[in-house]
Amino acid sequence: MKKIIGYCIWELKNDFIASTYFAVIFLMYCITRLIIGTKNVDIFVVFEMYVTIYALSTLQKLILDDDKEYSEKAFILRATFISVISVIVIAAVSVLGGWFEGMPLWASITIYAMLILSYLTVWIILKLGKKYDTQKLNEQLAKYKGNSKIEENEV
Amino acid sequence: MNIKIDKNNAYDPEPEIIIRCREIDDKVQNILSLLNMQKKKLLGFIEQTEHVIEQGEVLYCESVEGVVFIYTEKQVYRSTYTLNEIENIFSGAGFFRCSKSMVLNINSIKSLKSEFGNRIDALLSSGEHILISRHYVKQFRIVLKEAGSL
Repeated sequence: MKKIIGYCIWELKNDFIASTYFAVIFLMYCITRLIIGTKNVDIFVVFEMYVTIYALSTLQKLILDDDKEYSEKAFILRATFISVISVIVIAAVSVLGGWFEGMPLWASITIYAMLILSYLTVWIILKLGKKYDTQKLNEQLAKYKGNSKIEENEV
Repeated sequence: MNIKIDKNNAYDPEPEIIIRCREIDDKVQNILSLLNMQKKKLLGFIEQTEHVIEQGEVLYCESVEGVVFIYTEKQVYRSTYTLNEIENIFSGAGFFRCSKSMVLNINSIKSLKSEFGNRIDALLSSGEHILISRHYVKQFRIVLKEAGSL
């Protein structure tokens, strides 16, 4: 029972990641279609897109499981590997699946560029978040130590 | 072991404890340890020699293969306490469980660094780096936040 619940939680987290990634890439794809003047999207492209993204998010969960602890070096290596693999796999599937058939070359290039940009943005946000968190932690530590000294003097 | 309490109004207000024994064995050492804990001091051993350690001197306590060691900047002492005992008795003095096998004295931390994967790297006054495990990070943040909001 415990294993089943554990698997369900794992799967829910995976679905959440897959859905987020899918929403982003599908939105970018739709915007590009609208810009070139097409209001329709092939249902098979949508299906391929979701299956690809789901496979990649599963790979991400396996390689970078948030229930496990990694050293900083291992974390960066694994995250970089996932980012690179994701871009390569999406590019390959889009070519094989003909996602950009009938669309100008700039449309596919824009999507790939946006994809790379979104991974870079995540990295920048993570880095900035870490910096802000470090600053906040040290401020709290200084306050903590200040209070401890006051308590010691009171005793 | 017999325990006797002699209560008399004629005695000094400060209670006095006398332990009568033929030799200082493990049981006596445990009693001494507990008494020292009341004074917010820890008892550590280097070989067979016992030392009283001020809580402020302690950097961290680590359990290695079932034996707890107390680390200060100058010395490493063997301890008769368990990590749980140290954590429970000294939590008010800034001792915090930072991983399964370690209790860290927050007052000995020089600076903190947020790490990927929701972990925190603590740089101690001795220059050592201790990693606060992700399972204990949440509680650590609460401890810091609560103290900061006082």
